[in-house]
This record gives sequence, C-alpha cells and structure tokens, in this order.
Amino acid sequence: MYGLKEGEPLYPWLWPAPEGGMIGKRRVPRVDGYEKASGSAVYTRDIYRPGMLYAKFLRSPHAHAKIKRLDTSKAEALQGVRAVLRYDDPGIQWPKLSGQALVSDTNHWYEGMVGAVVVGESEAIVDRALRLIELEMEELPVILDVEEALKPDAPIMRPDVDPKSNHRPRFGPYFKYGDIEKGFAEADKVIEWKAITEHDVWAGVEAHVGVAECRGDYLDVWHHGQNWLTMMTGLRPYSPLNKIHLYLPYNGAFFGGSSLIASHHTAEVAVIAARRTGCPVKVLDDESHFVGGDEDARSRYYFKVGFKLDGRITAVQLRCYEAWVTETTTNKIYKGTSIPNIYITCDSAAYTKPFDQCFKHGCSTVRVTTQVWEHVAGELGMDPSKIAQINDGVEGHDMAYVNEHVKKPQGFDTARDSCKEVNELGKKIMEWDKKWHLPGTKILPNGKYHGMGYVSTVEWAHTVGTGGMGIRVNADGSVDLLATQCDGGWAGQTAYSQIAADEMGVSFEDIRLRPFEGRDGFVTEPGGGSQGLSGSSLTTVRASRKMKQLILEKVTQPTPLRRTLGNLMPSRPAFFPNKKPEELDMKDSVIFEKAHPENKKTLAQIAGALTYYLFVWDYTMAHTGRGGVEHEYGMVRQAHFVEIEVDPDTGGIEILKQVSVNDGGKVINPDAFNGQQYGGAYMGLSRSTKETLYFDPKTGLALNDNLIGYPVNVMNDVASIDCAIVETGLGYAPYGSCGVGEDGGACNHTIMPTAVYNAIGKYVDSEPVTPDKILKALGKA
Amino acid sequence: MKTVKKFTRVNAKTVEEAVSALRAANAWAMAGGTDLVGTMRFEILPDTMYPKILVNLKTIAPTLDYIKEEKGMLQIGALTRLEDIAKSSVVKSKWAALSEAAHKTASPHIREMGTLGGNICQLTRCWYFRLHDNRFFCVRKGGKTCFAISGENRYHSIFGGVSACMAVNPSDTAPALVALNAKIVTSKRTINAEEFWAVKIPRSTVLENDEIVKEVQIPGPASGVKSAFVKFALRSSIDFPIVNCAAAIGGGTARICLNAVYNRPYRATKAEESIAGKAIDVASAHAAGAAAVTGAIALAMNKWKIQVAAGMVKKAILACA
Ligand SMILES: Cc1cc2nc3c(=O)[nH]c(=O)nc-3n(C[C@H](O)[C@H](O)[C@H](O)COP(=O)(O)OP(=O)(O)OC[C@H]3O[C@@H](n4cnc5c(N)ncnc54)[C@H](O)[C@@H]3O)c2cc1C
Repeated sequence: MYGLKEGEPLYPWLWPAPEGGMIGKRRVPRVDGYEKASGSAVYTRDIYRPGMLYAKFLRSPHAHAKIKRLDTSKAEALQGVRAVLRYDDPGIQWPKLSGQALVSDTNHWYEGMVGAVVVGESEAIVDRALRLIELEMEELPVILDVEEALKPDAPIMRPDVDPKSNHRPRFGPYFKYGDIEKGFAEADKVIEWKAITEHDVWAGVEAHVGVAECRGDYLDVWHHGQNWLTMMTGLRPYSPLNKIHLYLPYNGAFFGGSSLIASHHTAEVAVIAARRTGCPVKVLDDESHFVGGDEDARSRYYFKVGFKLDGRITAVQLRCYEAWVTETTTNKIYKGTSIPNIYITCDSAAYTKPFDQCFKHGCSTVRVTTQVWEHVAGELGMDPSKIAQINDGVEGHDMAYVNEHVKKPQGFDTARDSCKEVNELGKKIMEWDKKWHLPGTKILPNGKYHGMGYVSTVEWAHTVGTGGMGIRVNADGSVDLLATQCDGGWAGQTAYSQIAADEMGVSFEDIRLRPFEGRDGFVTEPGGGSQGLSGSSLTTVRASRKMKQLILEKVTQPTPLRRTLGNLMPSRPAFFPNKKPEELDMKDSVIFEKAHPENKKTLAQIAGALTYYLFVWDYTMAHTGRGGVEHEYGMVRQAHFVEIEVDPDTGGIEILKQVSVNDGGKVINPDAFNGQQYGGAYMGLSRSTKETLYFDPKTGLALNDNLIGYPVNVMNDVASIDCAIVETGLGYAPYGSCGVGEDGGACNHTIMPTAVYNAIGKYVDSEPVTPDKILKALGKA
Repeated sequence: MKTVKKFTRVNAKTVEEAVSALRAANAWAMAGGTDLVGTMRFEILPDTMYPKILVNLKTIAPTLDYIKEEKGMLQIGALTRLEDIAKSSVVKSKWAALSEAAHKTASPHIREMGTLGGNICQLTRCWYFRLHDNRFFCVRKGGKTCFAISGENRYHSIFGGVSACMAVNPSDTAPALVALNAKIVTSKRTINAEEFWAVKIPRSTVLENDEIVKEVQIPGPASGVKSAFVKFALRSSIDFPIVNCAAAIGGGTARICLNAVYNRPYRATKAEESIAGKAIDVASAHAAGAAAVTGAIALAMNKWKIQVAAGMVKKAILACA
C-alpha cells in the first residue's frame, strides 16, 4: 500500500533502514545548528517590516468581572496611537479557537482575557496608551476549585452560557472498556485514593507573537507556531487562502497544544489590526506564558482500583475533574496495558481559571498509569516496575495475545518486548535492583530519606502520519526538500535530510530543507513535537525513493530537444546509454553502474542537463485503519527512573539522578532523540517538584505570574540525567520508528509522587510535590 | 513586559551630590538596578512612589566598590558586587558566613550586577506587594490591608507582623551581617546591623530618603568563633530564600540570625542561649533549632515554615562545628 515498487514490503515499518549512511548516526551537523547557536536564527519576534506598528492587549485586571465602563478615548488621542480595537467593536469578528475567546465577546471578563488591543507606532507609545485607558468593573464571584463550582449552591459563573449550572461536560465525557463491576468482583483487593494537580502553566521562553501585513487582498503572516496547516485554515476569514503567505519562523520553546491553540489568536489579531490600520502590525503577547492555563491544571482524580495479590490489575475506575483522559488514542491505561476493565469519567466546570488555552494532555493520561502502578505496588509491597511489567499489554490484551494477533500478522518481531527491554536497560543504568527498597525504609547517613521513583507507559507517536513533500534537484546537483518549516525542537529539518540522503543516495551536505509555502501536497511536520518526525518520515521516504528512481531513469535516456526561455537546448545522448535504471545505483551523490562502479557520473554532472525533469512530490495519507492495517497498537514503551533524597528538616527534594529510556523503534537522529529526552526530563521534573501558580483566594488573581516567582527548573536542579535508547522496531512509522517528543516531559511530570512515597513511606499525590506537602505528610506541619 | 515609564537619571559624582539629589520627590538611589528596575518594569508601586529620578551611585568617586581588611576589621563598600564578595579570599578567610551568603544569593548574572548595598536595601518580595500594576494596594504601599493575612501566605512571616505587614525580608546577606555583628555606615550615621531593617512604606530599612549606605564594617571574629550560612530555596541556583540562617559560634558565644521568616532578619536569641558554650552535635543543634521557633505563630498556610526554620537553625549550627 505504501511501497512504491513490486516486491517491496507492504508496510513501512517493515522497510529496512538503509545501512551505513546518515540514519542512526551521531554527530550529524544540525541543519539549523549554526543559525541557532550563533544567534542569527530568525524568530517571529525578529520580524520587522517597514512602517510596522506594535500592538498589545489590555487584559482583565480581575479574575472575574464585568465591564461597567471602558473609556479608551484618552488612549486613542495619544499621539502615535493608530487604533484601539475594543471588545465591543461591531466591525470586528474576534477569533475563537476551540470555542474559547481570547478577546472577550461579552462584557464578562476573566483573568487573561482581552478587552482591547492598542496599536501604535512603538511599544512605549502602546504602553503609555494602555495606562491611559479608564476601566470600571464590577467584580464577580471567584471559585478556584472545580469541585466547589459543581456544588449545588455555587454561584453561577457564566449565566450567559448556562443560567442554571456551572457544569460543563468535557468532550469525550467517558471511556468504558470491559465490565468494571466484574473486574472489582474478581479482585483480591480494592483500593481508593485521590490525586490532584495544581496549576502549572507553560512558562516557555518565547512568549506569543504574530506579525501581519496586508497588500490589498494579499496577506503576509508570520506565525509563532508549529503547524502550518491549522494556522492557514484559521486564516480563512481574512483572505482567500491562495492570497495568503504564511511563514513559520523558528520557535523558541514550544509544544503542540500551545502552538495549536494559543498562538493562533495572536496572529489573527495581528491580521485584524493590520487590516484596520493599513500597516504591518506586530502583536506582542508577553503575558501569554501565564494567562494560558492547561486543561490538566487543577485536576482532581478519584481512583478505585481492583487487583489480584500477584499484582494483576482487574479493574481501574477513575472519576476525573478537569484532566482529559478519556480520549481513546491518548488513553495510556487502555492503550498500553492488559487491564481488562476500565471505566473513566471526565468532567469540568465553569469556574475561575485563567483562559484555558492549551492542552498537554499527555501528562494527565500518564498520571493515571503512574498512580496505578504506585498504589498497587505500595499496597502489595512490590517494586512498581514489576507491576508495570505484569500488566503490560495492549488495549486489554496481554502480550502473548498481542504477539499472536498483532505482531505476527503485521510482520513485527515477536521476540522483542519493549516493556521488558526499557525496564531492564533503565534499571541497569540506575542500578535499580540495588537501590530500590520498600517505602520509607532507607535513611542515609546524612539523615535524609532515600527514594526511588518510576513511571512507564506507552510511547505517543507510534503511528504512521499524513504528510507531503516535494523534492527538486537543482542544476548544480544540490537538492531541495520542499516542505513547510516547522521548528518543533526535534531537529526535523536535519532528520528529514538524513532520511532523504540515505534513501536517495545523495550526500547529506547537498540537501537542504527549503521552507516551502506548502499547501496540501507539501505539509510536513504536522501536529506538534509528539507527532512530528514519525508523522512525516513516511512521505520523506516515499518522495526520496521516487526521486532516486527518476534520476536513474533519466540518466539512461537521451534528453530530447527542448525550448527554454526562447533558447533551443539541443538534445543530448543518455548519460548511461544502453543501461537500465536497475543496473545503476547512486551513493554520496555519485551515480554508477553496479557491475562497473568506475563507470560513474556525479549528480552535479548530470543535473545541469536534467534539472527541468528532476522534480517529484509525494503525499501520503494515513488511511483509516491506518498504515493499511486494521488498527495500530501501542507496542513501544518508555520508562523513567529517578533517585532522590528528601530532607526531613525542610521537606526539600534533591534529585540525584534521573534515567530516561525510550523505545524509538528505529532512531533516525540519536542526538536529537536524546535532546528530547533531556529536555523532557528537566521540564517534567520541574513541573513535578516546583511549578505552580498560586492564586489569591479572595480575588482569584495569580500571584506569581512571572519567571522569578514561578520556578522553572534550571540545569543544576537535577544532578544528572542519563538517556538511553532502545530500538525494537515496534513503531508503525518507516523502519519501525516512533516519536519521542512530549513523552519525557509528560512522564516525568508524574514521577515525583512515586519517588517521595518510596522515600518517606507516605503518599503525597499532589503535584507539584513541594516541601510544605512533604512536611505535612511527615506530620511536621 | 511593559517598557519602563519615563524617568530621569542623575549620575552622582560624590556622596553629597547623591544625597542632595535624593531629596527630590520620587527619587531613588540606584546601584546595580537588579531590584529597582524590576519594580519599575512591573509597576508595582503607586504613582506617588514610582521612581521618577534614579540617582546613580556607581558614578560616585572615590568609588564605593572595595573590599579591605584594616586592623582586623573587614570593610566593604556599598557598591561592591555580590560576586566579588563571594570570590574574595579575604572575606572567605574569616567571614565565611558572608562569603557563603553572597555566593548563595540569586544567580551568577545577578551577583555580577547586584551590590551589597542594594541587597540589604531591597524591597520585600511579598507577592501581594510585588504583583504587577499595583494590583494590591497593601499596607506597605500606604494602604490599609495586608492581603496576605487571609490570603496566600505560605511564604510569609512566622513571627507575626509589624505594622500589620506579614511580609518577610528576603535578603541573604542580611542575616550574615547580623550574625557577624556588622555595622552599616551611611551618609549620616553608623547603625548596628541588627537595627538596620524596619517596616517602612514602601522600604525595608531605617534609612531616610536622603541617606545612603556607604560601607559595611564587620569586626574580625573572636578566637574560636566559626561562622556559617545555610539557605533553603526551591531552586538553589537562583531563588530567594524560603528560610536562611547565619550563625557565628565559638568561644562560649553564639549569634544566630534567621531571615525570610519575619519582616526583618530575626535574631534567634533562644537558639543562641540554647547552644552557646555547648558542644555542637546533632542533638544540641536540634534542640537549639526547636528553641529558635518557640515563639512562632503560623498563618493559615505557613506552619511548614516553622519546621523549616528550626531545621535551618540546626543546619547552621552544625556547619559551625
Ligand atoms: C531573579 C532574582 C533572584 C534573586 N535572588 C535573590 C536571592 O536569592 N537572595 C537575595 O538576597 N537576593 C536575591 N535577589 C535580589 C538581588 O540580590 C538584589 O536585586 C540585589 O542584591 C540588589 O542590588 P542592586 O545593586 O542591583 O540594587 P538596586 O536594584 O540598584 O537597588 C535596590 C534597592 O536598594 C536601594 N539601594 C541600593 N544601593 C543603595 C545604597 N548604597 N544606599 C541606599 N539604598 C540603596 C535602591 O534604592 C533600591 O531600593 C534576586 C533578584 C532577582 C532579580
């Protein structure tokens, strides 16, 4: 189905990766390396257009309030102010994404919401104008807790949406598999507990920004985001799409949810402001780190779990507020275990939570498995990695079933056991078997508790993705991969070039991913970091193979007489006369006869004559029953381990060592892969131990919404991180590969409760696990 | 982040010039600017207090940037950067608590800009006081309410309030100066370190508006006295202290000072009494830690800090062994 030639294996995961080339090689120079390291890389913030104006938001100063009076006249009158766009401007259709408004669509305002956009000639002028806006508001009730909002006597928060109730169903309100009651009946033991998360935000490095310039109907937009296609679609109201040029410059610190949802608003407001003023406009949303909530933030999880005394889990019931854990494809406890009976419900409410802009739902679904392993292991006095192994499986089936019914028919290697392999390797590096102990039983000579934490789950992006790519050979033999640029941190530009180099037989140095204004045919790297490479490598392989085939065909044929720019180009004989394409090969940009390798021509030598012909494109759609198989199963695993010390005097946690092992199936660029692991571990551990916004209980205002008060881990907050790679070939992308982005960040977010439990022998199932909570659990506060 | 409102800068050439410039309304002394510029950018103060004139002390000659030991006394100019103090072999040799405190302050970048004078004069980090755009007009700004009392007070005072303010003093060097019995020499007078801090609107010291710190003087340690500084923060690399503690112990005496637990550095006299003259071991240090917090009063969310304070006293004492 995906293969191009007769006899080629049907499925891309069965295609062997070319050997001895760039794929899997270390120290491959990153295509974007020089630009980024030297500071010359252009980010959206670096875009300047002649005559460009600046725009900033007037945000709600209250967590929940109504506008009584908004007087923008003084701001409008300030010299250098070009426009004040108000929430109630009848001429503006403010953008909405996922049903959420950035700019308030009523006089009802939440913290983070925008009531006006000021556009002026400089940032300083805009700031001055913002200070001149007079705003009178009526403060409305504040409810900071989702469960409080659902109480029958709670004040109604959004009567305009629902005058009777604060209840809001999450989309996908429940997930059911098996028979939960039967599962409990079969259990030897049933336990219940509650876990919570506080309010973490993305607090990235580059705040949102968007630039727009109108030239009549034509529109140029510079978007701080990863996903070309969804942004393009979002621009539909503003111009015919074939008149829009959408550029995605480099991104500094990002993730899919933020890119998909939050940053779009900024670019759209830039378009609205540019249309209104007739000038290019840069919208700076400097507060975006902190006003954007995460749907996982302030979640509540009520667990009820049944299990056998040997560690086999028979039932998982979960009642969830806020966290979105019911969606089938991201539901880790279903996707990556043999647990036969699962029932999860998900609910939400209208309450005082800053603009719920993005999702990092990886964290919430991993939290379910982490919590279940931890508590069942705790109850049985077992090592949680053993519980993970015992319950390993796929969609309710154990691995014996998966071997027989999935791996075999789909051609995967049944001898490979990803869970076992990541666990064994991780434990070896961590010296887990030597270090792990029963909870609360090891006090070190320095008086501190010693703890070992563990999380394991299925990898995210194990699926075949949809994408498109064009390839062109230039007259000098250099090669362009024509695709949208999407800077997601997984070194996509480099990794695609590695694949293309090996598949075409072109030297890596001759290839460049040329950010191409892509439409359907040329959109690579969709989604976010979690899906990027595995999603688009299929089309890269196919396009590269097509190009190689085309080159080998063209060099065996004479080039006919042709006319270019009015000149008559003479016909010329074939470069390899009387040869068939299959008698030739290409390596390192040299085409040669297999039987007589001395008969050769460089790509540069033939490209001048053939460049008009050497263009291919490929578009590969991930079919329903994706990959040509009925269903894709999550068979690749990751495991993360952490060793900590807990100070009983302060409740402080010191992270001594962290180990991440990811099964990448087949890893294209191991350095970039490690980069995702390292970054994920730092970010995840940061959220697990420190990051939370604190709110004033009366006003509901966030109190630490800046990078001094909101502590994001820096390098020396984790003593050492060891990253290791397993390659089982059990992913569905070409060569059996799968992605790694998002995984480490989400998993390590959930790990600290397990380590702290192992250290002090008491559960602290509230993230982040801060010193106050530990001291409380120890009975010292 | 907003652009800073317009202000005037005065490059003072002498201490007298600085003092005279500071007499103008809304004039503030500026050293490294690492604290002051932040307050301006975030617009935390009401207009009546917002810095409109910045009096640059770095241009004063002869410079107030020096570290010297004279007749056994350590003299540090107010404009000396924290990093220079942390690295100074003179400071390290006899005044370990200050060396360590300077080293543990903020991040390398901030220590390269921030000065000792600025560190001891910095405004409180109470998040109600610091919230951008003067969202909370609290007692420290001339308002009537300390919003922390019934609000988010996990990091606030465990020894009650002063003038109804529950904020804490965030300085790392301050407790070291108190433990080391330092004197602060200003343009007007010489003040015992212990008496230097106060609850003012909005400042944190007893200084008049037209008074600047010129020098910090620390006597040489008596024989047998060892000093140490310990700090507990979420991120050891940059964060303000949750609680810190400096101690100078030996020869039958003990001076122990906690910070970030009260409006001013808090001299833990009960701990001093408990440990002075005793052999230092885990049990005696623990007992002194417990003694240090006997008068503590928890707010709704900060009971844990009492435990941390006791723990930090214990650690500071053990570090003096
Ligand atoms: C991210 C961050 C982290 C930090 N972490 C810590 C920490 O862990 N521990 C800690 O102790 N501090 C910390 N700080 C505070 C930092 O140490 C201070 O900002 C710095 O020491 C102030 O010195 P400065 O020279 O920059 O002062 P400035 O910002 O110039 O001035 C600060 C204040 O002191 C006044 N002032 C300055 N010099 C004098 C003088 N000679 N006489 C009278 N008044 C004067 C100014 O008017 C102003 O009010 C941190 C700051 C930041 C931004």
